[in-house]
Amino acid sequence: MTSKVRNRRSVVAVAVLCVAAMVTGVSAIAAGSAGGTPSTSTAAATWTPGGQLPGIPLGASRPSARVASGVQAAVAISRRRVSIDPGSVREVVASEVVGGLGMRVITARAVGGEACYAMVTNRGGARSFHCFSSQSGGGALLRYAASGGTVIGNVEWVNLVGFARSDVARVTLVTQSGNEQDLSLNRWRGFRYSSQSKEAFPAALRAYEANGSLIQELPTLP
Amino acid sequence: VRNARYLVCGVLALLAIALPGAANATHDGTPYWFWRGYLPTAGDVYTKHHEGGCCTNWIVTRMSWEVGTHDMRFIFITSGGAWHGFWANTGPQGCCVTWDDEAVLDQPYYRRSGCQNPPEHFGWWPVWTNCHTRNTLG
Repeated sequence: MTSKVRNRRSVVAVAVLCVAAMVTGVSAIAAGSAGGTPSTSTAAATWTPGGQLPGIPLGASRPSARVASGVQAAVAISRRRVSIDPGSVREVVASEVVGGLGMRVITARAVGGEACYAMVTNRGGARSFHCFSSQSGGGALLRYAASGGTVIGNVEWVNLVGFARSDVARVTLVTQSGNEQDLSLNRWRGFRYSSQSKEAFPAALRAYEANGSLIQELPTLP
Repeated sequence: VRNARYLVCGVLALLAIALPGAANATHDGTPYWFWRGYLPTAGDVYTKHHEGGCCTNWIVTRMSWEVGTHDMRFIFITSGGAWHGFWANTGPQGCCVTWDDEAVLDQPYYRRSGCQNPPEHFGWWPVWTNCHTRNTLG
Protein backbone atom coordinates (compact mmCIF):
# COMPACT_ATOMS: atom_id res chain seq x y z
CA MET A 1 0.00 0.00 0.00
CA THR A 2 1.42 3.38 -0.99
CA SER A 3 1.44 6.32 1.40
CA LYS A 4 -0.88 8.23 -1.00
CA VAL A 5 -3.53 5.49 -0.76
CA ARG A 6 -3.07 5.28 3.02
CA ASN A 7 -3.54 9.07 3.35
CA ARG A 8 -6.65 8.99 1.19
CA ARG A 9 -8.11 6.23 3.38
CA SER A 10 -7.32 8.25 6.50
CA VAL A 11 -9.07 11.30 5.07
CA VAL A 12 -12.15 9.24 4.19
CA ALA A 13 -12.21 7.67 7.67
CA VAL A 14 -11.97 11.08 9.37
CA ALA A 15 -14.70 12.45 7.12
CA VAL A 16 -16.99 9.52 7.99
CA LEU A 17 -16.33 10.05 11.71
CA CYS A 18 -17.07 13.78 11.38
CA VAL A 19 -20.35 13.14 9.58
CA ALA A 20 -21.30 10.52 12.18
CA ALA A 21 -20.49 12.94 15.00
CA MET A 22 -22.56 15.68 13.38
CA VAL A 23 -25.54 13.36 12.89
CA THR A 24 -25.28 12.17 16.50
CA GLY A 25 -25.08 15.74 17.71
CA VAL A 26 -28.13 16.82 15.70
CA SER A 27 -30.05 13.81 17.06
CA ALA A 28 -29.09 14.67 20.61
CA ILE A 29 -30.23 18.25 20.15
CA ALA A 30 -33.51 17.09 18.64
CA ALA A 31 -34.09 14.64 21.51
CA GLY A 32 -33.27 17.34 24.01
CA SER A 33 -35.78 19.77 22.58
CA ALA A 34 -38.48 17.08 22.51
CA GLY A 35 -37.76 16.28 26.14
CA GLY A 36 -38.11 19.91 27.07
CA THR A 37 -41.91 19.92 26.96
CA PRO A 38 -43.76 20.81 30.19
CA SER A 39 -44.59 17.19 30.93
CA THR A 40 -41.25 15.71 31.94
CA SER A 41 -42.52 12.54 33.61
CA THR A 42 -44.01 10.97 30.52
CA ALA A 43 -41.44 8.15 30.67
CA ALA A 44 -43.47 6.74 33.57
CA ALA A 45 -46.80 7.51 31.94
CA THR A 46 -48.84 4.44 31.14
CA TRP A 47 -52.43 3.33 30.65
CA THR A 48 -51.67 0.09 32.44
CA PRO A 49 -49.85 0.86 35.70
CA GLY A 50 -47.92 -2.17 36.89
CA GLY A 51 -48.88 -3.90 33.67
CA GLN A 52 -52.44 -4.27 34.95
CA LEU A 53 -55.57 -3.34 33.05
CA PRO A 54 -57.47 -0.62 34.89
CA GLY A 55 -60.95 -1.44 36.16
CA ILE A 56 -62.72 -4.24 37.96
CA PRO A 57 -63.45 -7.52 36.20
CA LEU A 58 -66.78 -7.20 34.50
CA GLY A 59 -68.16 -10.25 36.29
CA ALA A 60 -67.48 -8.60 39.65
CA SER A 61 -69.47 -5.51 38.70
CA ARG A 62 -72.56 -7.67 38.01
CA PRO A 63 -73.34 -6.17 34.61
CA SER A 64 -76.90 -6.09 33.39
CA ALA A 65 -77.83 -8.30 30.46
CA ARG A 66 -77.77 -5.20 28.26
CA VAL A 67 -74.23 -4.28 29.30
CA ALA A 68 -73.10 -7.86 28.71
CA SER A 69 -74.79 -7.65 25.32
CA GLY A 70 -72.88 -4.44 24.61
CA VAL A 71 -69.58 -6.13 25.42
CA GLN A 72 -70.45 -8.95 23.04
CA ALA A 73 -71.26 -6.37 20.36
CA ALA A 74 -68.01 -4.46 20.96
CA VAL A 75 -65.98 -7.65 20.60
CA ALA A 76 -67.85 -8.64 17.44
CA ILE A 77 -67.61 -5.33 15.58
CA SER A 78 -63.92 -5.02 16.46
CA ARG A 79 -63.00 -8.42 15.05
CA ARG A 80 -61.78 -7.19 11.68
CA ARG A 81 -59.28 -4.96 13.48
CA VAL A 82 -58.40 -6.74 16.74
CA SER A 83 -59.26 -10.04 18.42
CA ILE A 84 -60.35 -9.39 22.02
CA ASP A 85 -60.25 -11.93 24.85
CA PRO A 86 -63.84 -11.59 26.22
CA GLY A 87 -62.77 -13.04 29.57
CA SER A 88 -60.41 -10.14 30.21
CA VAL A 89 -62.99 -7.32 30.10
CA ARG A 90 -62.93 -4.81 32.96
CA GLU A 91 -65.07 -1.82 33.76
CA VAL A 92 -63.26 1.42 34.57
CA VAL A 93 -66.01 3.97 35.07
CA ALA A 94 -69.71 4.50 34.34
CA SER A 95 -71.40 7.73 33.32
CA GLU A 96 -74.68 9.06 34.53
CA VAL A 97 -77.75 8.26 32.43
CA VAL A 98 -78.79 11.34 30.46
CA GLY A 99 -81.31 11.46 27.65
CA GLY A 100 -81.83 7.75 28.20
CA LEU A 101 -78.15 7.02 27.51
CA GLY A 102 -75.56 5.74 29.96
CA MET A 103 -72.00 4.74 29.04
CA ARG A 104 -69.30 2.58 30.60
CA VAL A 105 -65.64 2.61 29.65
CA ILE A 106 -64.24 -0.90 29.47
CA THR A 107 -60.76 -2.29 28.99
CA ALA A 108 -59.67 -5.72 27.75
CA ARG A 109 -56.69 -7.64 26.47
CA ALA A 110 -56.29 -8.47 22.82
CA VAL A 111 -55.36 -12.08 22.15
CA GLY A 112 -51.79 -10.85 21.58
CA GLY A 113 -51.74 -9.20 25.02
CA GLU A 114 -52.23 -5.57 24.02
CA ALA A 115 -54.31 -3.40 26.34
CA CYS A 116 -57.43 -2.18 24.57
CA TYR A 117 -60.45 -0.05 25.38
CA ALA A 118 -64.04 0.43 24.27
CA MET A 119 -67.33 1.80 25.50
CA VAL A 120 -70.65 0.06 26.10
CA THR A 121 -74.02 1.65 26.69
CA ASN A 122 -76.83 0.88 29.09
CA ARG A 123 -78.93 -0.04 26.06
CA GLY A 124 -76.70 -2.80 24.76
CA GLY A 125 -74.72 -0.63 22.38
CA ALA A 126 -70.98 -0.23 21.99
CA ARG A 127 -68.07 1.48 20.32
CA SER A 128 -65.44 -0.74 18.79
CA PHE A 129 -62.23 -1.66 20.62
CA HIS A 130 -58.97 0.19 19.99
CA CYS A 131 -55.63 -0.68 21.55
CA PHE A 132 -53.25 1.70 23.27
CA SER A 133 -50.10 0.18 21.83
CA SER A 134 -51.15 0.72 18.25
CA GLN A 135 -51.32 4.47 18.69
CA SER A 136 -48.56 7.01 18.55
CA GLY A 137 -48.27 10.56 19.75
CA GLY A 138 -50.93 9.79 22.27
CA GLY A 139 -52.67 12.08 24.70
CA ALA A 140 -53.14 11.60 28.44
CA LEU A 141 -56.94 11.50 28.39
CA LEU A 142 -59.39 8.96 27.01
CA ARG A 143 -62.99 10.03 26.86
CA TYR A 144 -66.23 9.10 25.15
CA ALA A 145 -68.43 12.09 24.52
CA ALA A 146 -72.08 11.76 23.61
CA SER A 147 -74.75 14.33 23.01
CA GLY A 148 -78.33 14.32 21.90
CA GLY A 149 -81.64 16.02 21.59
CA THR A 150 -85.01 15.96 19.96
CA VAL A 151 -84.05 17.81 16.77
CA ILE A 152 -80.89 17.01 14.83
CA GLY A 153 -78.52 19.95 14.99
CA ASN A 154 -79.73 21.11 18.37
CA VAL A 155 -77.78 19.68 21.31
CA GLU A 156 -79.95 19.42 24.44
CA TRP A 157 -77.70 17.28 26.61
CA VAL A 158 -74.11 16.16 26.88
CA ASN A 159 -72.74 13.11 28.61
CA LEU A 160 -69.10 12.12 28.83
CA VAL A 161 -67.05 9.48 30.58
CA GLY A 162 -63.39 8.55 30.51
CA PHE A 163 -60.17 7.97 32.36
CA ALA A 164 -56.66 9.33 32.49
CA ARG A 165 -53.12 8.02 32.07
CA SER A 166 -51.04 7.21 35.14
CA ASP A 167 -49.16 10.52 35.14
CA VAL A 168 -52.37 12.52 35.49
CA ALA A 169 -53.17 13.71 39.00
CA ARG A 170 -56.01 16.13 38.24
CA VAL A 171 -58.63 16.40 35.50
CA THR A 172 -60.69 19.51 34.96
CA LEU A 173 -63.48 20.44 32.59
CA VAL A 174 -63.70 23.85 30.97
CA THR A 175 -67.28 24.82 30.17
CA GLN A 176 -68.58 26.82 27.23
CA SER A 177 -68.84 29.81 29.55
CA GLY A 178 -65.15 29.50 30.47
CA ASN A 179 -65.43 28.04 33.97
CA GLU A 180 -62.90 25.38 34.90
CA GLN A 181 -64.02 22.77 37.40
CA ASP A 182 -62.39 19.70 38.87
CA LEU A 183 -63.77 16.29 38.00
CA SER A 184 -63.52 13.70 40.72
CA LEU A 185 -61.35 10.72 39.83
CA ASN A 186 -61.92 7.14 40.90
CA ARG A 187 -59.07 4.76 41.72
CA TRP A 188 -58.37 4.22 38.03
CA ARG A 189 -58.51 7.96 37.38
CA GLY A 190 -61.95 7.51 35.83
CA PHE A 191 -64.18 10.57 35.55
CA ARG A 192 -67.61 11.56 34.26
CA TYR A 193 -69.57 14.68 33.48
CA SER A 194 -73.00 15.52 32.14
CA SER A 195 -75.07 18.60 31.58
CA GLN A 196 -78.41 19.66 30.20
CA SER A 197 -77.57 23.35 30.43
CA LYS A 198 -75.88 24.98 27.43
CA GLU A 199 -73.73 27.24 29.62
CA ALA A 200 -72.33 24.17 31.35
CA PHE A 201 -71.70 22.23 28.15
CA PRO A 202 -68.02 21.28 27.85
CA ALA A 203 -65.43 23.05 25.74
CA ALA A 204 -62.35 21.09 26.81
CA LEU A 205 -60.86 18.67 29.29
CA ARG A 206 -57.51 19.38 30.91
CA ALA A 207 -55.07 16.93 32.47
CA TYR A 208 -52.53 18.08 35.05
CA GLU A 209 -49.54 16.46 36.66
CA ALA A 210 -49.20 16.30 40.44
CA ASN A 211 -46.90 19.33 40.32
CA GLY A 212 -49.66 21.34 38.66
CA SER A 213 -48.25 21.49 35.16
CA LEU A 214 -50.64 21.04 32.29
CA ILE A 215 -50.10 17.83 30.35
CA GLN A 216 -52.87 18.11 27.82
CA GLU A 217 -55.94 20.09 26.86
CA LEU A 218 -58.36 17.95 24.90
CA PRO A 219 -61.10 19.81 23.03
CA THR A 220 -64.40 18.25 24.04
CA LEU A 221 -67.38 19.82 22.39
CA PRO A 222 -71.10 19.34 22.99
CA VAL B 1 -69.79 -32.28 -22.88
CA ARG B 2 -69.03 -28.99 -24.60
CA ASN B 3 -72.44 -27.59 -23.62
CA ALA B 4 -71.86 -28.66 -20.02
CA ARG B 5 -68.51 -26.84 -20.03
CA TYR B 6 -70.17 -23.70 -21.41
CA LEU B 7 -72.81 -23.96 -18.69
CA VAL B 8 -70.23 -24.31 -15.92
CA CYS B 9 -68.22 -21.41 -17.30
CA GLY B 10 -71.34 -19.28 -17.52
CA VAL B 11 -72.35 -20.07 -13.94
CA LEU B 12 -68.84 -19.32 -12.65
CA ALA B 13 -68.79 -16.03 -14.54
CA LEU B 14 -72.13 -15.04 -13.06
CA LEU B 15 -70.95 -15.97 -9.55
CA ALA B 16 -67.77 -13.95 -10.04
CA ILE B 17 -69.88 -10.93 -10.88
CA ALA B 18 -72.63 -11.45 -8.32
CA LEU B 19 -70.77 -12.55 -5.19
CA PRO B 20 -68.59 -9.49 -4.58
CA GLY B 21 -71.64 -7.31 -5.12
CA ALA B 22 -73.63 -9.37 -2.62
CA ALA B 23 -70.84 -9.16 -0.06
CA ASN B 24 -70.82 -5.37 -0.32
CA ALA B 25 -74.55 -4.88 -0.38
CA THR B 26 -76.61 -3.93 2.65
CA HIS B 27 -79.87 -5.51 3.74
CA ASP B 28 -81.99 -3.56 1.29
CA GLY B 29 -79.67 -3.79 -1.70
CA THR B 30 -78.07 -0.38 -1.32
CA PRO B 31 -74.31 -0.25 -1.89
CA TYR B 32 -72.04 -1.01 1.09
CA TRP B 33 -71.53 2.72 1.66
CA PHE B 34 -74.95 4.31 1.54
CA TRP B 35 -73.23 7.70 1.47
CA ARG B 36 -69.91 8.69 -0.09
CA GLY B 37 -69.24 12.36 -0.40
CA TYR B 38 -68.66 15.60 1.43
CA LEU B 39 -70.48 16.54 4.62
CA PRO B 40 -71.88 19.09 4.67
CA THR B 41 -73.06 18.82 1.11
CA ALA B 42 -73.30 21.78 -1.20
CA GLY B 43 -76.88 22.03 0.01
CA ASP B 44 -75.78 22.33 3.68
CA VAL B 45 -76.81 18.81 4.66
CA TYR B 46 -74.63 17.94 7.67
CA THR B 47 -76.02 14.51 8.48
CA LYS B 48 -76.62 11.43 6.37
CA HIS B 49 -78.53 8.54 7.90
CA HIS B 50 -80.18 5.36 6.77
CA GLU B 51 -82.74 2.80 7.95
CA GLY B 52 -81.18 0.08 10.04
CA GLY B 53 -83.24 -2.69 8.53
CA CYS B 54 -85.35 -5.14 10.40
CA CYS B 55 -85.30 -8.25 12.34
CA THR B 56 -82.09 -8.18 14.34
CA ASN B 57 -81.13 -6.60 17.66
CA TRP B 58 -78.48 -4.35 16.17
CA ILE B 59 -77.98 -1.24 14.14
CA VAL B 60 -74.33 -0.75 13.25
CA THR B 61 -72.71 2.29 11.69
CA ARG B 62 -69.28 2.35 10.17
CA MET B 63 -67.72 5.66 9.22
CA SER B 64 -64.45 6.36 7.47
CA TRP B 65 -63.48 9.90 6.73
CA GLU B 66 -60.80 12.31 5.66
CA VAL B 67 -58.92 13.06 8.86
CA GLY B 68 -56.85 15.87 10.23
CA THR B 69 -59.10 18.86 10.69
CA HIS B 70 -61.77 18.10 13.24
CA ASP B 71 -63.86 15.36 14.77
CA MET B 72 -66.90 13.64 13.28
CA ARG B 73 -69.94 12.13 14.92
CA PHE B 74 -71.86 8.85 14.72
CA ILE B 75 -75.60 9.52 14.77
CA PHE B 76 -78.37 7.21 15.95
CA ILE B 77 -82.02 8.19 15.63
CA THR B 78 -84.71 6.67 17.80
CA SER B 79 -88.07 5.56 16.51
CA GLY B 80 -89.48 8.61 18.32
CA GLY B 81 -87.21 10.96 16.36
CA ALA B 82 -84.71 11.86 19.08
CA TRP B 83 -81.02 11.62 18.26
CA HIS B 84 -77.95 10.39 20.12
CA GLY B 85 -74.52 11.31 18.78
CA PHE B 86 -71.06 9.98 19.63
CA TRP B 87 -67.89 11.88 18.83
CA ALA B 88 -65.57 9.58 16.90
CA ASN B 89 -62.34 10.75 18.52
CA THR B 90 -61.65 9.43 22.01
CA GLY B 91 -58.31 11.04 22.81
CA PRO B 92 -55.39 8.63 23.26
CA GLN B 93 -54.58 8.67 19.58
CA GLY B 94 -54.38 12.45 19.49
CA CYS B 95 -56.92 14.66 17.82
CA CYS B 96 -58.54 13.63 14.59
CA VAL B 97 -56.24 10.89 13.41
CA THR B 98 -58.81 8.10 13.68
CA TRP B 99 -60.12 7.49 10.21
CA ASP B 100 -62.31 4.39 10.41
CA ASP B 101 -64.52 3.30 13.28
CA GLU B 102 -67.75 1.54 14.13
CA ALA B 103 -70.53 1.97 16.66
CA VAL B 104 -73.48 -0.30 17.39
CA LEU B 105 -76.71 0.36 19.24
CA ASP B 106 -79.86 -1.59 19.91
CA GLN B 107 -82.93 -2.00 17.81
CA PRO B 108 -85.84 -1.35 17.79
CA TYR B 109 -85.14 1.64 20.07
CA TYR B 110 -83.01 3.12 17.30
CA ARG B 111 -84.32 2.95 13.75
CA ARG B 112 -81.76 4.88 11.73
CA SER B 113 -78.07 5.59 11.98
CA GLY B 114 -75.46 7.54 10.09
CA CYS B 115 -72.67 10.06 10.01
CA GLN B 116 -72.47 13.74 10.81
CA ASN B 117 -70.15 16.68 10.42
CA PRO B 118 -71.71 18.47 13.36
CA PRO B 119 -73.78 21.44 12.20
CA GLU B 120 -73.75 23.28 15.51
CA HIS B 121 -70.01 23.90 15.16
CA PHE B 122 -70.42 26.26 12.25
CA GLY B 123 -67.30 27.04 10.32
CA TRP B 124 -65.89 23.55 10.16
CA TRP B 125 -65.09 22.72 6.62
CA PRO B 126 -66.44 19.84 4.55
CA VAL B 127 -65.06 16.38 5.20
CA TRP B 128 -65.12 13.52 2.74
CA THR B 129 -67.13 10.82 4.49
CA ASN B 130 -68.03 7.21 3.77
CA CYS B 131 -71.01 6.01 5.78
CA HIS B 132 -72.40 2.51 6.18
CA THR B 133 -75.35 1.10 8.10
CA ARG B 134 -76.14 -2.56 8.65
CA ASN B 135 -78.00 -4.74 11.09
CA THR B 136 -75.44 -7.47 11.68
CA LEU B 137 -72.42 -7.40 13.98
CA GLY B 138 -69.98 -9.12 11.66
